[in-house]
Amino acid sequence: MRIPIKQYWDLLINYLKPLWFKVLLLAVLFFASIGLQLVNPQIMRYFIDTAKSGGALQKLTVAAVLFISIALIGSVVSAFAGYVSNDLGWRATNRLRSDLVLHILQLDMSFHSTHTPGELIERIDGDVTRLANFLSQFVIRLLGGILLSLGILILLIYEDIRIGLALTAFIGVYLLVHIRSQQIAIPHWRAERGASADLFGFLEERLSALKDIRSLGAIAYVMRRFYEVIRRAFWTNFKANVITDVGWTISNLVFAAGYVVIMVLGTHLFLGDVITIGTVYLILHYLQMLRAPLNTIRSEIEDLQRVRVSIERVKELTDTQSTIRDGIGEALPLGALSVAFQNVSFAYHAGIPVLHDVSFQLKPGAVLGLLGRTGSGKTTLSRLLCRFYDPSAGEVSLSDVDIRLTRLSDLRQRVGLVTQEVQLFQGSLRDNLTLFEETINDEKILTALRTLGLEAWYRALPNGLDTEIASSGSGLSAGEAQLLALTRVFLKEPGLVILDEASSRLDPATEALLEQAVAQLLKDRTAVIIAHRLSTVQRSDEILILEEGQIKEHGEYDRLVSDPNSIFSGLLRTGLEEVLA
Amino acid sequence: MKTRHYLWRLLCYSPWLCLGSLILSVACYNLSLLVGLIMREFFNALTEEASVSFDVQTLIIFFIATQLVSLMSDQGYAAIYVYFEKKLKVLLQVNLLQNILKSQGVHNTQSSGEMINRFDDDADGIVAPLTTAIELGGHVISAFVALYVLLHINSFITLFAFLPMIVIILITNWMGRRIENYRRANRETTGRVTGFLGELLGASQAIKVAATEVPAVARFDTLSEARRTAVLKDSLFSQLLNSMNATTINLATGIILILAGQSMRAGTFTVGDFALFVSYIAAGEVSVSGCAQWMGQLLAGIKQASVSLLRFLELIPNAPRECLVERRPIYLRGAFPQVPHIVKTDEYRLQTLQTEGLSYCYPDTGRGIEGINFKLERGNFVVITGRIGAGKTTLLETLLGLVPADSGEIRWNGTIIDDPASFFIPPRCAYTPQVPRLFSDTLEDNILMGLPKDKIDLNASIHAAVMEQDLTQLEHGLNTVIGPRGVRLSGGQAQRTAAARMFVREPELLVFDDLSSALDVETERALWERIFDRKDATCLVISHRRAALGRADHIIVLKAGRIEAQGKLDALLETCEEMQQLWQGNYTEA
Repeated sequence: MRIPIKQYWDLLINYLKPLWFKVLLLAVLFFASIGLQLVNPQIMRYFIDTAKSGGALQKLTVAAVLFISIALIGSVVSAFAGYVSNDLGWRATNRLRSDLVLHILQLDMSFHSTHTPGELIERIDGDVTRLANFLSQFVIRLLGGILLSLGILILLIYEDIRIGLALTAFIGVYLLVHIRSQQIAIPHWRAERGASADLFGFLEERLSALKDIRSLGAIAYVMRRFYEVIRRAFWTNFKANVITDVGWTISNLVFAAGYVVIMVLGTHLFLGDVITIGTVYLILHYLQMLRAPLNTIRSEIEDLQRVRVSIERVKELTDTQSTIRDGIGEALPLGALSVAFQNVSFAYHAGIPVLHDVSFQLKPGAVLGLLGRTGSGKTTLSRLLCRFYDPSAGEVSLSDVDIRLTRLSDLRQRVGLVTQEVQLFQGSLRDNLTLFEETINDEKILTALRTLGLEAWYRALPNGLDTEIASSGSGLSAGEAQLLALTRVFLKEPGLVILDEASSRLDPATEALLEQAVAQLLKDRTAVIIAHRLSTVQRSDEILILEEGQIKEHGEYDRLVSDPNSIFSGLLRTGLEEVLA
Repeated sequence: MKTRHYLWRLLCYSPWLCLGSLILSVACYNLSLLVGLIMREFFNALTEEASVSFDVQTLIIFFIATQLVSLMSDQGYAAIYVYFEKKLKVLLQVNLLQNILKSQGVHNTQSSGEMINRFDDDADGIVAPLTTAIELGGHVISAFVALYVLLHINSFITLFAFLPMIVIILITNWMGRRIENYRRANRETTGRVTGFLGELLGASQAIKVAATEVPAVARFDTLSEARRTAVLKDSLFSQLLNSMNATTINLATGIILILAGQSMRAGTFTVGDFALFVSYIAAGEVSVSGCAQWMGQLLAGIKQASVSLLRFLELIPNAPRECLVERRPIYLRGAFPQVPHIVKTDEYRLQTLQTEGLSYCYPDTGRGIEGINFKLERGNFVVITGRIGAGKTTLLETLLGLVPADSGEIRWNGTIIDDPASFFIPPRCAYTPQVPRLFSDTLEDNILMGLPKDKIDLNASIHAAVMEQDLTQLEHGLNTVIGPRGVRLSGGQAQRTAAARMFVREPELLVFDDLSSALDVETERALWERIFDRKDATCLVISHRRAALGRADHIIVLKAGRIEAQGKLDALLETCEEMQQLWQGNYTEA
């Protein structure tokens, strides 16, 4: 059996190192509590032998009082040790959780598009909490069990070498059998974790789609799917549990056999006057005492298995590397950025190209209107600019710097993106605007809101910036959400702004309200405006039309408008029809 | 309904399973008692103080036989115990989900991460006292047996040894309220951590765009720290209780030592008796004091269960409280239930839909709609328009019962609808929200959502939703798995998938919120045309598109939650200033 101690160690040593003082304290408490546990049976033996040989009653009373005092001190010490180890476990794993969250947030979009938040919660929190319990109890229990067993064995060998050796052999066999019998359960626990992650992934999606489900009358359907998912989770869990129990039964059988051996051996030695009846009691009592630590050792090893699965899953996360490598730190110039695509191709799935050999340039401060049907690659183009993905061929550069050479944090600081679906979360308005960046003060936020013409809206809020926004931004209209997204970009003061259909959800009145503000945002900045609607690209200096991942037309706005043969002027005609409809 | 009533109803869901667990529990514990008795005789045989005339050899054989039977019953008990526990957990989860899905107009403010946390931990919390009770059952019966045996051997020592146990029961009771508080704090901080995590991961792209990964994690740290403090308090408390229990056992053993000295010297209390006393009272599982511990755990468990029940009920505030423990099949075995398919008949036919004084106000923001009166007739195309925050979406959601109306009437063909949430569903009505939610299934499953494929026209609805071209672009067409929440689709594709999902249900009334917002001009035009081509289609839509407004039979202009004006476009453009501004888009804030 491979206990991947090294894996645990590698994972945990970093987190335990800064807590060395608590580790030391724990060790001290720990040895004290084990010593105290070993003393008491000796007192009992002394008591039995003294009583049987007719010793003084006073001696017996002193022994009894000593017994009680040692027991009381022992309880206090072990409770304290438990507290310290718990504290240690949570301090260490809290840091691990944070590191994991950071790691996950920094993974690329292809990771986030294949893992539900529910599944990730189960990994970051479920698996790590299992680790926390392991960490806080493993030390106390497993190590304590081993030390206590060793102590008992040493005392027994000192008592009688035959008994001592017999018990040592027994413990060896016992642990061997037990550990072997536990291994059969490992794959079942792995399956169990997987099924439970599926269950929570399923629930998370459904719970965030309650309105859709209710209004489509799909409750029975969702329940039916739930029955399927939960049935699988139930039976994999049941199976894993039962198989683990079979392992326990086999081990218990070995323990009972050991007990029988000691009974026979004890009888033999007692009848041969080698040991007293008090010693027979002592040996059997120690054996009984061994039961607890051995049980703990095996249940901890079992936990170790479960934790091993969790650790594997955690490691799987930490080993997942973003396909986006952070750049070496080439700096982007201040002010408006120029944009260049050079023979850029890209595919989400091999064989299905989304962008094909796209090349264009955009001068600093220029505004590009990007048009095309749904699925023509407009959004992909914007994703490449933010480096959510790297092109499969070609190069994207900003102000002549290949964006793969800049640090991601610099790049995203300098590029502002407003997507169509604004991601809002449960939390204060302030957090939703700054996304937790505490260096942005309230004054700056208020200035941004004012510039955007949101002051009246803001004043109507009950608690100003502390107003709580409900989960997924419910309670806000999509238009309001869109305005908040624009505010986010305002706060960043980027050199390139990408508006992906940013105004498509706004009613004309609000769209008009934003005109001036957007104009201000675009002043001295380069911009790419992705739109389905022609009105949104009116402010563009240049127009680029994509079709099936290729540039269909690219030119200055005025030139394309005046050229009756251009696609754009054709679109303008149909567009005008739309406006007049 | 009190916690114990819930627990009782849960037990009654599986009475035979419960009884079986209880019988095996009793068997397991009493077999352990038998082992103690055999050991007593073993010691007595050695010191030749035996009351029964078995030799050592026979006793060892007895010992082996008892151990074998005991192991077998342990195995059976463990299996039935897990089955029982998890089955009840599934029942609770099924009932909770069912009621969350159908509870009328709940404005859930909990994040889905937080809700999942309740689904898991609190379901465990509710079931826990029941399994504890079964353990307790085995303990109590074996405790009485043990007590009888001990009293029979030496009633004086027995009575004194039991004194400390009474103390612990009193103390556990006294600590009860504190346990509840600490556990609640623990759960709450845990909920905050997982809730935040869910929100954070759901907004991962926004965090990336803003490059604020580090400060976001710093916030997460703060919540984690609060949780650590709460967990420590909670576990310190249970640790104190546990160590108090160990202390009681040790005190009792000490008392036996003090009292037994005299009689052992006199030979009236044998070494075997001593071993029996110590093992019954002290040695872990077979102890009488274990009863006290289990009893304490049961009491604490019931208190924790009531906290968990409250947290369950918070998710379904409007549902009847006993719905959580309602008896229903949970399909752990056998065929799954058929998803019922309602065939559209004349009784579902829409003639008129009318509202009177419909009002709803969001409790947290104080905004909403007030006094909404309008009427639509079969075949009408009605457009709701207005500025951001005018209450357009709220109006639709109130009408459909997705939020509970504060006042007002809704009439369908003249009949007042009391429970709009369960009424406005296909085939009467279908709705596509502004940001439709999709699932990580195949595209086809997302559209059908359980409709029988042979009884509906999938291709027609795909055509109606202008999706036919997208299908050829997707990797596996209709069988493409679209990723969590449909992230692998573009915004426009997701919206049209939702539209197809609505069309395929062939509802009498189509309700959609800003359906075309993510569509390009030509796709949008095609979509509108195909909607207008539907014979007899009745539509209630939110839009500010001229294409929609121009075709509308009736336009409702909302302003600040009230109807500013309604009627035909031409008339509105002449008389309604708000409409003019919306139409022209040259509005500037006053």
